[in-house]
Amino acid sequence: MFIRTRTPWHIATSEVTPESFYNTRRKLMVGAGSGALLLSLRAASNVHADTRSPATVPTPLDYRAVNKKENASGFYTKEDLAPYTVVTQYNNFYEFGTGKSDPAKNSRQFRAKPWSVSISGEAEHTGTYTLEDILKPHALEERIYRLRCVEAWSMVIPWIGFPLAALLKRFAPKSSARYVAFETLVDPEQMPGQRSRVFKILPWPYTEGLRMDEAMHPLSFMAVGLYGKTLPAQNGAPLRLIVPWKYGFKSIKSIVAIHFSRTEPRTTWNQVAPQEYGFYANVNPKVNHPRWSQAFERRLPSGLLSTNRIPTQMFNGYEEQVASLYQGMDLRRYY
Amino acid sequence: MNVRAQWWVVVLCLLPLVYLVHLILGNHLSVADPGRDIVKFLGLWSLRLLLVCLTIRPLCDLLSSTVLFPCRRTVGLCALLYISLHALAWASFLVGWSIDGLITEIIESPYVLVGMLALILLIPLGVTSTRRARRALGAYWQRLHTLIYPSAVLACIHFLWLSKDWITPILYTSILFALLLLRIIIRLSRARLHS
Repeated sequence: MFIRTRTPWHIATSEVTPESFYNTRRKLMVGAGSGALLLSLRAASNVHADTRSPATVPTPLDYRAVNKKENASGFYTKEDLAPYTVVTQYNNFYEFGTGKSDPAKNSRQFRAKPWSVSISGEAEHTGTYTLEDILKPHALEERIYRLRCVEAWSMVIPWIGFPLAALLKRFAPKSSARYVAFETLVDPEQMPGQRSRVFKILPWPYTEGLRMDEAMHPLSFMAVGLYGKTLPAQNGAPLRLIVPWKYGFKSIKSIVAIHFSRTEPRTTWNQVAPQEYGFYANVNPKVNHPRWSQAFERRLPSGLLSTNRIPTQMFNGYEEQVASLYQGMDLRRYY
Repeated sequence: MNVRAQWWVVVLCLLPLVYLVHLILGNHLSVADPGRDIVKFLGLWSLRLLLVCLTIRPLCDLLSSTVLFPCRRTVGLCALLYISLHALAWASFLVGWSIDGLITEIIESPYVLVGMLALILLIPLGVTSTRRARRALGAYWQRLHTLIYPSAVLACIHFLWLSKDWITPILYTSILFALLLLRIIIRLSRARLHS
């Protein structure tokens, strides 16, 4: 007989007290005794944090480590890396909520498989490709890049991936393709930040774009992992762009579409606030955001006793590699 | 409302600070940027207390009771405390007390200047909050203390200008707008009654 009957004393696994909560129950009792009720309730909710595995679990990758002896390419920097917990717990990914800890908290149900990317526009080989087809021909390598957010904080992160140029060349873009545009997934079921129909956080889908020469530049990187493992959901699983000389909002996450276009593509933040976020968004300490200074940034993690406030460098320190792309361009006008 | 009740109001207003200490000591702040968490926490509670302070008068008018009136001074002074801590935290944790940094921020980030103005406007209110000062200033005391309105408006502008995501600042600004509107409506209906 294969009919399972439940015994009267059976309890569902989901009702079992999480081990972490059980182990700290005494701390909670002491807290309740010595502090306000509010404090102990808050502490309990922290301990009740979901300890189940997220749907997208980072798995180890095979890759070629970055060459630490070679400096001219910009692929490596000696600066201290942001620890893994910092990189994966402090994110701007409004599809999962606008708080810095929201993407890590609200992406536990996000599945990076099955995934496909649709290629369209001015190219020979358009169509829909599965993630496996996208990734198969490329050998993975490590790049250690600075990532500078427009909010004036930055991190140094060891990404795993392959050059964007190598990917784009496979689709044989025509000479009429002067720009390339990218699009992020729209799926309110998996992405809680996209659920509200009254107050749209951003006009989904999130889109970004690059000029063709920027996309073909050696620094432009398609990342599939960080710290030697595949990307967690909050960092843009399974596939994201890294353009290290531009503000972080250009490094679009969870890419589902790539479009080769004749004209400059519309980009989300430029759509929301055109005077504040431009198409180029090159890191530039001499061109301020209208509402705050871009002359300094804080390198995270920062502590209460060490603010890690450092001057921002032109093109985020990649001036040597990318300045030629913008020769003669008024960067105050094309911000 | 007697003195003991006022002390309870003080305790209530200081509870968020106790919670903040718990967050700091218990390592519940973000690993990446605890300084910013503290500044943001203090800023939000400053604005909340300012809004609570501005709610007391309309509430008393609607309930035709003056029992909560003495709370305005307590809540207002606590709001001033939170704002001062917020400014101190910003200077310490986000700017690191570098003179160059402070000057750059004041000149190049307009929201900093607006925030400082909001704080500065409240200082004379804090200084003249005693009964003795009220007696000494006479009619001018009431006019001086209307500065809380422009201060609250500046605080909301400060919040809007520093945010990349506008949903929360717009929410607080709407509440302030509603409170100001309510105040004007009550005043106008009073004036009509008396005329």
